Amino acid sequence: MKNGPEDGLAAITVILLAVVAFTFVSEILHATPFSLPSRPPLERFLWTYRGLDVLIQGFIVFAAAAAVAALFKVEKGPGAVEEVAVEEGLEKGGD
Amino acid sequence: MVEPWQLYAAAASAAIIIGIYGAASKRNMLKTILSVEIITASVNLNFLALGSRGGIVDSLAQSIVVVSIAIGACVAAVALSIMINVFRHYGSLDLKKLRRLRW
Amino acid sequence: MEIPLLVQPIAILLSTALLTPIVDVVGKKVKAEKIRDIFAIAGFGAAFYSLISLHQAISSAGPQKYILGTFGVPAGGVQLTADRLSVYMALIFCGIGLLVAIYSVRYMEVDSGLDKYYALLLTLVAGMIGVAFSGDFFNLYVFWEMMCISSYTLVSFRKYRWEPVEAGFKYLVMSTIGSLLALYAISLLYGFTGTVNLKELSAAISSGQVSASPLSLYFTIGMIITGFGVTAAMVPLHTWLPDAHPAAPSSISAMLSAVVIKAGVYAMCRSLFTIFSPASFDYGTVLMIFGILTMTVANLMALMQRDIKRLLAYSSIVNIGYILTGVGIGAYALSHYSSSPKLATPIAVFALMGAMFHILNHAVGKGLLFLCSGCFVHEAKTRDIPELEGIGRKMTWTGTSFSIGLLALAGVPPLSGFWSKLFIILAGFSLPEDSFMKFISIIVVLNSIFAASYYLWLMQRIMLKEPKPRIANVVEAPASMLLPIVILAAVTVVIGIWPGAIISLAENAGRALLGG
Repeated sequence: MKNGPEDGLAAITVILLAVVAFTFVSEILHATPFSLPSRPPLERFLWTYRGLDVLIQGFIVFAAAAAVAALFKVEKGPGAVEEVAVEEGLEKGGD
Repeated sequence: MVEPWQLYAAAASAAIIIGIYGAASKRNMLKTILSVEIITASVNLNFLALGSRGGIVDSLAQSIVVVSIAIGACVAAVALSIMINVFRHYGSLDLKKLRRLRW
Repeated sequence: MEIPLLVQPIAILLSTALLTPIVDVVGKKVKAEKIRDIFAIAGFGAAFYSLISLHQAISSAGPQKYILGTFGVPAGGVQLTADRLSVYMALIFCGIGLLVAIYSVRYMEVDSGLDKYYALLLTLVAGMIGVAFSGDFFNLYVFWEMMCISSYTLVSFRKYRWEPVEAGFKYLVMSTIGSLLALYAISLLYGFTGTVNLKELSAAISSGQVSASPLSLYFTIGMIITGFGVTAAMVPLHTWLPDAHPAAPSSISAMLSAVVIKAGVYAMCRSLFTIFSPASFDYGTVLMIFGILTMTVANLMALMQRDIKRLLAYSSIVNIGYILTGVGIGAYALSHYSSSPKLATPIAVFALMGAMFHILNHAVGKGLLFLCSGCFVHEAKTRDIPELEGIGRKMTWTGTSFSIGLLALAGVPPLSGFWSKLFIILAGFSLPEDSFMKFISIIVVLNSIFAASYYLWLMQRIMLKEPKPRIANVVEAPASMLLPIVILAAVTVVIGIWPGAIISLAENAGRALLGG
C-alpha cells in the first residue's frame, strides 16, 4: 500500500458506500415507471422547452473561457505581497 | 426479470462509488480530476437510464444530459488550468507535496 | 424589446460581464483603465435597482413567474419564479456584490487581467441570483455551476503565489463532487416522477402517487443535504473553507463568506422545503444535529488560529451552524407537531425568520470584517495576528468599523446579531415540553457565548494593544476602500437599532419558504 492510512480510509469509505448503495439502489430499482407526457424529439425539445438552460450554459462557457484566460494570464509585476503565518514544523510548500 | 434500465442504473451507482474512491485516495492530481469526470459521466448515465423506461429515452433526460456534458467540460477545463498552475509552483503533481491539503 | 422584470437582473449582469473585456480594451486604448471598473460597478448598480423594483412588484402583486416563450411547464419547460424569499436573497447577493466591486477598484489594482476578474465577479453574482430565482431543479443546478466555476477561479486569481492555487484546487474538487451528488439526487427525483420542476415534484411526492419507497426518498434527501452542504460548509464537509477563504483576495473572501455559502444554504432549504413537505418528512432533526456539530467544531478550531482571515473563516462556519440550526428547528417543529398546525406553524415561521435574519446579519457583518481585514493586510502586508496587534489604533476608520462588525456578530445588544440569535434561541425554547429542542437551544446559547469570547479577544488585540514597530508607518486605507466598509458598518448599526423593517422582511421570506 503506497499511501498507508489514506488507502485504508478510502477502502473503508468504499465499503460503507457500497453497503449504502446496495440498500438504497435495490429500493430505487423497484420504482415502477411513470407515465410521461408526449414530448417532442430532442432536436426541437432542447431549443424550445429547455431554451433557458442552453442560454445559461452558453454564458457558463463564456465564464469558463474567462476563467482559463485568467489562470494563464501574464503578470505585469510582482503583485500583492502578503505574509502568511506558517505553522511551526511545516515548511512552506513550494515556490 | 432484470430490465436493461436497472442494469444501467446499478452500473451508474457503482461508477459513482468508484469515482468517490478515486477522488479520495489517489495521490496524483490528474487522477483526482479524472475521478471527478467519472462521477460526472455516471450521473449522466443515471439520468439516461432512469429516463429510458418507456422504450425510448425521454427528451427531457436527453436535454439535461446534453447541458450537463457541456458544464462538465467547463469544470474540467478550469480544474486542469488550476492543476497546471499547481505544477508550475510545486514541480510535481503529487498531492502530498501540497502543504495543507489534509482531507 | 421589453425584458420582463424577473429576467432583468440576470440579463443586466450577464450582458455587463460579456461587455467588460471590450470596455477594458477600449479603456487601455484611451489610457483610462478604470473605465472597466466603473462599468462593472454600474452593472451592479443597475441590477440592484431592478431588484428593488422587482421587490416592490412582488410585494404588491404576489410571486412572479416567467417562462421563455410559450413552452409550458407540464411538458418540461423551464420556469423562473420569484417569491419574497428569492428576492430577499437576491438583494443580499447583489448588494454585497456591489460593495465588493467598489472595494476592488483600489484593492486589486496591483493585479493584471482585471477585466476577467470583473467579468467573473459579475457571473458569480448572476449565478447566485439565478439560483435564487429558479423554479426548476435542473435550471438551479445550471446556475449553481455558473456560480461555482466563477468562484473557483476567483479564489485562485492571484496565481503567482502557491497558496491560492493549492486552496483553489482543493475547493474545486470538493465542491464539484458535492454538486454532482446534488445532480444525482436530481436524477433520482426525475426517475421517480418524470419531471424536474420544483412545484410539480412537490405535487407528485405529496400526492403519494410516486411509487418510490420512503427509504429511497430519504436517500434523496440525504444526497441533497450532502451535496449542497459542501458549499454551505457544513461539518464534516467544511474542510475546503479554512484554506480557500484566507487564500483568496480579500474582496473575494468577503464574497465567499458573505454570500456564496448562503447560496448553498438557500439551495438546500428551497429544494428540501418545496419538494419534501416538512410535515411528512423529518429532516429537521438531521439539520439540527449537523447545525450544532458545525457550530461546536468550528468554535473550537477558531481559537487556535494565528491568521486573521483563517479565524474569520472558521467563524463563518460557526454562523452557518446557527442558520442551519434555525432552519432545522423550523422543520422539526413542523414534522413532529404536524397534528397541531396551529401550534407548529408560528414556531416554524419564527425559527425561519431568525435564520433568514441571521443570513442578512452575517452577510453584512462578515463582509464588513473581511473587507476591514483586507485593508489591514493591504497596508501591513501580513495576515499574522501577533504582527497586526494594535493596527486599529493607526487605521481609525477601519479599526472602528472592524470593532462594530465584531460586536455585531458577537451578539452584543443593541447591534444586529443579538436579534437574530435571540430569535433562533427563543424558537428552540418555545415548546417547553420538548426536551430535544431545549437541549439544542442550550447548545446554541453556549456556542454564542464562546464565540463572543474570541471576537472580543480579537477586538482587544487589534484595537487596544500597542502597535509593533513593523506597522508603525501604516496609513489609513484609501477612500474608495473605506466607502463600502463604512456603508456596511452603518447598515449593521441601523439594523440593530431599528430591526422592525428587516424583521418583517425576514418573516415574509420565512413564510414564503413554507409556501406562502
